[in-house]
Amino acid sequence: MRLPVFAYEVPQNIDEALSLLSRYGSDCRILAGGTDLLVRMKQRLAAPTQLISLKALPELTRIQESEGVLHIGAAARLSDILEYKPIQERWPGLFEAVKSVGAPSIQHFAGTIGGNLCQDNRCQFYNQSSSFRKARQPCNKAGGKTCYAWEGGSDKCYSICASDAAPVLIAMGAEAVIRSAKGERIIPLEELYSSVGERPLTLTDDEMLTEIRVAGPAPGAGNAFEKLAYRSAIDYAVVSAGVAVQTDGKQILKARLVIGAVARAPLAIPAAEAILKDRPAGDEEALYEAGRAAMNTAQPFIANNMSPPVDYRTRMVSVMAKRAIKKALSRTGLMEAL
Amino acid sequence: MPDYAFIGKNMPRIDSRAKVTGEAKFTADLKLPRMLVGKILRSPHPHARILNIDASEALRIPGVKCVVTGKDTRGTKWGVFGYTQDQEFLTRDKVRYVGDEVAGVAATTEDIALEALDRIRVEYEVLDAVFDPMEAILPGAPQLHEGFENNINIHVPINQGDVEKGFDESYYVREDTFTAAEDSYFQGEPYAVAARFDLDDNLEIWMPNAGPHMKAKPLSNALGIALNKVRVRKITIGGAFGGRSEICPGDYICALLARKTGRPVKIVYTREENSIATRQGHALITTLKTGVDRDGRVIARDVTCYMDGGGYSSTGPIATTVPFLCMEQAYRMDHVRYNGYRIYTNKPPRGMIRIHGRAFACGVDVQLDMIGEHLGIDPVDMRLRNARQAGDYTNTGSHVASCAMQETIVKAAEKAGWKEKWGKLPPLHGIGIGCNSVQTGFPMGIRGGSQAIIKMNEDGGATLISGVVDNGQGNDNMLVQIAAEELGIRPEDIQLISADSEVTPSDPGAYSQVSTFIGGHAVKNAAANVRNLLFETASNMLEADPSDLVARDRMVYVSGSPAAGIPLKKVIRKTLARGKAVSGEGDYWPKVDPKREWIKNPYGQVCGAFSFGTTIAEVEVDPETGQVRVLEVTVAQDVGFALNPLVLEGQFQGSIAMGGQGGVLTEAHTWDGGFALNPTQLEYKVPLACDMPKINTIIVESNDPEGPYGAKESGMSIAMSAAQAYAAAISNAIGVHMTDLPITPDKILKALEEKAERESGVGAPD
Amino acid sequence: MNRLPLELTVNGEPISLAVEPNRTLLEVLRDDLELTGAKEGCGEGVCGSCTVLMDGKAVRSCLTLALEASGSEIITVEGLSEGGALDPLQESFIEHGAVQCGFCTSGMLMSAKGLLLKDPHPTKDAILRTLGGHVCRCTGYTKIIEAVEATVDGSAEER
Repeated sequence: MRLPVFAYEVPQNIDEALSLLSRYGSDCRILAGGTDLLVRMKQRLAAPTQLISLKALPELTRIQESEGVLHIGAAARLSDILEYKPIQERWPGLFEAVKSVGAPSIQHFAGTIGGNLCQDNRCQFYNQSSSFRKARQPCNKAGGKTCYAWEGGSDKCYSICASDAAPVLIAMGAEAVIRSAKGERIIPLEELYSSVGERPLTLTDDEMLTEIRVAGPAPGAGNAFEKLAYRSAIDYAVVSAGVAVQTDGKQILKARLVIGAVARAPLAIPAAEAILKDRPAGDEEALYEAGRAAMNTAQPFIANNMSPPVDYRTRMVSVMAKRAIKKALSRTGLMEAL
Repeated sequence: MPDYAFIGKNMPRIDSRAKVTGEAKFTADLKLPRMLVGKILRSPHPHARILNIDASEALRIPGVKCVVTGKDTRGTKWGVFGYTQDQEFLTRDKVRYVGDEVAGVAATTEDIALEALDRIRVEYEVLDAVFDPMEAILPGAPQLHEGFENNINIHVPINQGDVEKGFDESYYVREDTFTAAEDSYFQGEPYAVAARFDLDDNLEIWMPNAGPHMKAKPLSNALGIALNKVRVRKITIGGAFGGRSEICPGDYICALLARKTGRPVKIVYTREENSIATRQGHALITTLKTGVDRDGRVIARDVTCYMDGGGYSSTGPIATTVPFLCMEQAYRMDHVRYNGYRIYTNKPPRGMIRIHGRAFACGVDVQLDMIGEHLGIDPVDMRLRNARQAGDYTNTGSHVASCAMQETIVKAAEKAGWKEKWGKLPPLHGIGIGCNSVQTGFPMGIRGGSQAIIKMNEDGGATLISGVVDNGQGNDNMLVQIAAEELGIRPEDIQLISADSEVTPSDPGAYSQVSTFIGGHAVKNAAANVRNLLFETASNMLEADPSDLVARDRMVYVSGSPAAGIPLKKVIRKTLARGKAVSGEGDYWPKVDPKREWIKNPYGQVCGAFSFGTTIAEVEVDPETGQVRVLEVTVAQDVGFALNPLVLEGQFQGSIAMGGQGGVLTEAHTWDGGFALNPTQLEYKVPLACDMPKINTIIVESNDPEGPYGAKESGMSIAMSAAQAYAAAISNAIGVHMTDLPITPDKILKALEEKAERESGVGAPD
Repeated sequence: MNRLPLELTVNGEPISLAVEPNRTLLEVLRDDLELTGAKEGCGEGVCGSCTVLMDGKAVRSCLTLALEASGSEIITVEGLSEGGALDPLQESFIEHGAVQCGFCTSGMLMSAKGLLLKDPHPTKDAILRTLGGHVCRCTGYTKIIEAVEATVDGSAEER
């Protein structure tokens, strides 16, 4: 499959990259690993006239922990994240999420954390070849006025955010560092997502994600990620769940649950968080209630945008949520020991 | 077992070295001087009339050398049989599925060719389309082809014995319906074709194929040139699985572009094109009515099968019959009736596939379990009681000379620990068994036999010429292994020339499981003829009777006295000196009933031998997600005789992956009308290494009296018995007999839920 | 379209080309350098048949811009054997019957090589995860897994 024509530049420092971004604006895309962008370009879902390579910017690939906060450069390779011991030990939820992306020969070199977080939304009617799409009216996301994933059509785009890393990072309260030639802003990671299927990120055309920051778990805290897929590799999630909990060793003080692959953006479940608060850590019933709350919150968003049936995916929200919470809670003792 | 030098031994394949070094060339790897890039414009509509095609704008693009449409063709229609000729390689009147070939382009670069496709203006009159075979047969449904009323492409009627009487005599009768969605080949290599013509209008063409001669004839017909001008060349092939047995429209389009431009042209399909515009597996709806006696022996069976055939006939009559044949071979019954209907729909045409008729085959076995449950009979006993046995005749009149079905059942059950596990496993943990049989070939008329030619050189080496093609299963190695054994030389002494329609004699191809049984047999006969020639000379030299001579290790000697032998090359030179050429030929034709015809007369000997086998799978189901983990799979297969156990095991394991792990758990096309929503490997879930279970392989040898060294088909039917075993194991784990394939997690959860409702009485009918 | 200079080492040979930015590493290897051992099975990074080593790491060459590989050292399946001697992995694939149609073989070999370069004693799980990034339709993977395992020193228990 051929790529469309584009120009290519390799900026030698971040400022140069940012100035290119502000010069080319929406005609331009940042090329990190390419596993999402290049596929979409081959399918003619994206046709930037300018690509900016991050190849010469090692500062964007740094992974380091300082003063209890984990800093991950946006262009850090997924394989490097997996090999960074502190992540395996203290942010196991992130480790699990990253490990579940694609397959090792994608991760080694290509996949980056920024690429995973900034990947475009997906839908089985949108992520198709140009010949498939040319045979029908364009959908909302392709610049048209309908949605094939929603029975009877819709003026909204029912694509999903398929990022595996986003749910657990958001649950852990991660922040996104965003830079442009004009300056820098730091936002909670959830604010990176617009909940608009056609344009799922809140980044302006001249901005780029440069770093993810996430605080380390305090004593009594735990985090976890669960993903349901039909194969153990090379598969997007049918449903995923990221969880971070804070306990005092006995009771849940605070919990955050974020569901992935069901809505236009990673879906936070405040109702589940309310249910879990102040419940004993071993309260199985609380997990079921939280799972059901997640399912009820997610249900209106779940559309026919991937092959597993809508009903099944809806039910799996509850299962993945429950399992992720349980796993996170099981890790709270572990965290104390560290 | 005779003391063979190579036969029956683990022999690493002769083609492996080229494949592990990257030397092996597949069609897409070919680069010819001045070669153009070809692309195909395909229909965006499932059903439409072509009103006009305007290629003028495309032809104005610099670098576009040629555009061909239906107007450039002779209008020859393709069909495997005279009565199934319904497909034009470039359609002139109508398109019948999304992907149907409308035009071909040749250009200097791929980008230019793609741009040209965009600039061809096709005016369509969109017609009503039909996608469901049960709707397509209703009066008033859109008609795809003239002369095929109610879109019934093929009807195979078989009626042996008196089924109604059989049901009357039965102790227990039940009827169940089994369904399966379309599966797909997903060969490693996407389809590709390269072609060139010389000034004398001779065509040279390369493409993945399962029989070069099967490609050559339709090309000769469509291009209007003599058969000896069509030269299908040998090339490495990246898998077939039944999907590359026929001519592909792309072959013709590529040849036409090459002829018109006077330059070589290569067309490489995208993965999506390989999925939607070559062939797919049939979707099936099968109703089985089975009557048994008190002991579970089948007395009568009535089968009605509706197959979604897509837009064209393809191998229609064969495809509509083979699932039935597999069933009637595997199990005994007194009376049987079959009505197989292949229905046209506006979907991609369907062909033969390794796990052909999965809903049919699985249905037979799952229903045996249902019957066994009712009668209180263990599934293993159900199979042992109904299993085919050597010496039997099938209901449609084929003699089964060799059969070790019962032995495969017993051995598989023993290895899998059936007795310890059946009925004793913890909840959601299940074990299941499936049996199957496949025919080693089927009647192919004038293309039914194979011939091989061997010539020896004075240095003791040989050149072997055979029409057999290797799709990846190891046929090249098999041919060389047999020739080396018979000639008493080493595999490295043999040069193989094969799968070339110009220089090799005709051969049935590799799509009916006969490469060894027929093609290998021909090589064995040819080698024996050459050896006899040499023994004639050697008998003088050794002063011994030719029948006492042995050829082995590049020597000829009197049996029992290898030390007193003479080098084979010396015998060759001596023979040449005697004024005799040291070459020979041999052929083999299967003993089938020439009067047997798929529809008009589906009775008589269908092929030379049948293989049989058993697969047992053990699974664990996650009751919350419905996901299945396969713990262990055991295969016991009657292969007649194992020529090369190493290669056989690989076939067994591949069959488990395709038929069981993929075929039952994940694989099916999903649709939006006529559009396949999952034409790529990302969305069509072929199994991966990390999900494969432990596989135990047991080779059972029944030594077929007709097969070369006793060998017969080996491996394909495992895909079917694996499907049955997986389906049965899941059914056993969840306590619900699953009747719709693939058995995806959502279906499992639904079945568990309905069962819980039934058991608690909630929602039960009054 | 502007061509840009591309300097890289392929199988030990320095290569100097000028390429359009939209060309993938796979296209350059196959079309310009006539190294057709890496295959295009899907073109979208799924099947793994195009896998090559880039500075010792297995990458999908169909989703790698040629220019992104600039300055790096590429090993393709053609470079796996040195001076006619096969790599132990290649030998093992042959001996174990891990090759059927052969279309996925070069990708499998290169991923396995990448794994062994990083860790000469990988666990079975690591082998499965690595091979899990490749689609094979013929073998059912068993013999491929066995072939890779056989090249790892030491018994399975020790690993």
